[in-house]
Amino acid sequence: MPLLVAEDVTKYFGGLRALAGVDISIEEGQIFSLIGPNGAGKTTLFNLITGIYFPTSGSIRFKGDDLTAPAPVPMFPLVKRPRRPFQITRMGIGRTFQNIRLFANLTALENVMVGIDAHNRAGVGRSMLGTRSQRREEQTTTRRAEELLDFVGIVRYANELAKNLAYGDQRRLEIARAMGTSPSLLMLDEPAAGMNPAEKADLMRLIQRIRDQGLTILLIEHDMKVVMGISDRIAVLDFGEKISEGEPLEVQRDPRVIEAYLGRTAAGGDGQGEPSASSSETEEA
Amino acid sequence: MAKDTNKGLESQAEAAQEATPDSSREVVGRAPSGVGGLTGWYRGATQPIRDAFQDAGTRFDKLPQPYRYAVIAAVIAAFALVPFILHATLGIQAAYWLNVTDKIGIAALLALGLNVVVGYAGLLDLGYVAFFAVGAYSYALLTQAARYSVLIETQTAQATALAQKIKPVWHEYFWLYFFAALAIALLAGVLLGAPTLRLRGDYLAIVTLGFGEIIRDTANNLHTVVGGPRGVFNLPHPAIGSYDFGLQNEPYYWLLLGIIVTWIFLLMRLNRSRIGRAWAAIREDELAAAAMGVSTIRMKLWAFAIGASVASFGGVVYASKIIFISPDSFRLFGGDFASVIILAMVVLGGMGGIAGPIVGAALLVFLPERFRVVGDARFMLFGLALVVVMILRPQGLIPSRRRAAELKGGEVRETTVFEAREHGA
Repeated sequence: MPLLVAEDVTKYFGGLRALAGVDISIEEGQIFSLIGPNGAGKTTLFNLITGIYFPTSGSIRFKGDDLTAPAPVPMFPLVKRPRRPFQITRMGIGRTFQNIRLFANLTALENVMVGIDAHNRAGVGRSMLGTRSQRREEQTTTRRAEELLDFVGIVRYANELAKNLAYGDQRRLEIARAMGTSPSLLMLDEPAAGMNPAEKADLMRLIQRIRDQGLTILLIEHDMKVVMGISDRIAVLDFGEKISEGEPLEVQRDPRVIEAYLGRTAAGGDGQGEPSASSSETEEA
Repeated sequence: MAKDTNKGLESQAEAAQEATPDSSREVVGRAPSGVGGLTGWYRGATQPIRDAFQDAGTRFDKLPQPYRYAVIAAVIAAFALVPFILHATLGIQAAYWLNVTDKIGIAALLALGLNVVVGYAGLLDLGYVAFFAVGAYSYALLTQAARYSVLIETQTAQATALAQKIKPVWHEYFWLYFFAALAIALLAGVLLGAPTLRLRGDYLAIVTLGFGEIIRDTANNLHTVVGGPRGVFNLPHPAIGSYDFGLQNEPYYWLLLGIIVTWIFLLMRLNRSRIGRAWAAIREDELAAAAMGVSTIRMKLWAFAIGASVASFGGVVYASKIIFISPDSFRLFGGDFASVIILAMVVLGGMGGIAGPIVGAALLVFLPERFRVVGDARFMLFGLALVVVMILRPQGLIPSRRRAAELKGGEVRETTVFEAREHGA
């Protein structure tokens, strides 16, 4: 069974159609990439999956549960309402943001701890009294946060404020923070944006290491070298529609993809034009 | 781990240099440049003081645990001795200044509570005095003092006779009313917090301001329950065994000291825990917090509820000491403990910490009393002092590390999940 299935997902913002009947299906353990020109609806799809938006129509199923269907509210089991973003996160979907949204004035360690806290249980009472179980939980949280910082390679900045980290390290910290929520699906929104080639190579290795830990990865990326290098499967969005899906080489040769990226004349040629030609322009977006 | 992080500090400068020049965004906050004039003179003149504080802080952190507890105990003991010191040094004036100290205690408690809402969770609350009122009025209602004063005010023979029968006298179990008031305030915090959850910043402030006024207006108009504008009188003074607190100042001081110390311990633990991190995350970026699994709604409600329960303790002590409360005691502005003044205490002292709000409370109560000699001009001086302090130290006198960092070029995103849903992330 696929880990995440989006079926016929459509989203309108007023009269603007952001997504039109998009289907994707992500198998467990895959690195699945979403590409497409700016404004194609990639981030909108992310926001639909994480519950920040509700789809106009269509369904998104994660591990068999419909994320868009109303779920019982904690404490009031008879009341049902659509899941809030934090509930979806706790179900096992972690994400990063296109424009870095770290907690700038918290330390790197604290940033990751906030993520890990998603599954911690100590409430206000136990935290106030500092019970033994709460202290133990704090210790394991700290240790896990250090492990995660070590995993993404920035443990030496554990006690730095997040805003003081270098740009590439902030991206890594965002990944560590998302991994803190113990996701089975990790969604990365343009993790390579603004990185230099060496950093990008490191990032690709990092993403592969994350996959090797058993996580499934949904990636939005403009950098074709990164996308083609690590993806198992790629879906291409353009103007809210999925125009192509397949393995990296198939997608690269698809004339509709080339048309979307380079325009009709290029697509009319021999069909060998490389989408990566446009990547340098969109990278800094 | 500790070694690693020390190295981290040293290598931070290197890292900053190594940071790719093509980073599309300024990463390191820039210190305000072009310091001169008054601010520059002030910085130079006060640097030794700041160094001394920092020094003391690091030295305290390095102490082994038992010594740290000893230092804390010594500080508490020193505070407990204040009434004796005042008696020894001020002689006949001691009672007056002890009354001021009690006011400082109540103000400090309120500032600590508001600090949870404003400093920890970053929710601007302009109606905080409402919870102070809830505490005081809960005590008045539960002890039957409210009913008593309403009956007396009716001025019929029957009512007076009935009033004499229920005249509230302190019982040992009246201590329970402190906790009952806490529970009521907790509920009030949730009730008043719930409608504000979708709001932020200025809008939130306006709604909380409205709530503060609603509570006061309600009290003003409930003639038959809490006496309306006449208020409630003859509230019972607390007592321990046969020791009646009465009109003395000292027992209230010690009571307040105990309550404040307890709350400090609880709040510090809370701020260091998962809950405190969640609050900080909401303050920094609510949408990102939600995406990291923070239940933003629940955590905001907790901030309101805890802030409210701290204030309710202040309300009960205040009511039982003054033994008279009326809606006029709980105003937005003016009076001893107005919403705006409490907020000024928190901001002036420094948000997000513990010492800051307490120092702010102490100053804002003490200074107007000290300068009573200059008459009403002191209010002008008071305003002037506030302006000067906020220019020289925008982060407050004793800011928390985090809050100080925010003012030095940190950006705080203020988009709620609801807004993101409507307008895009």
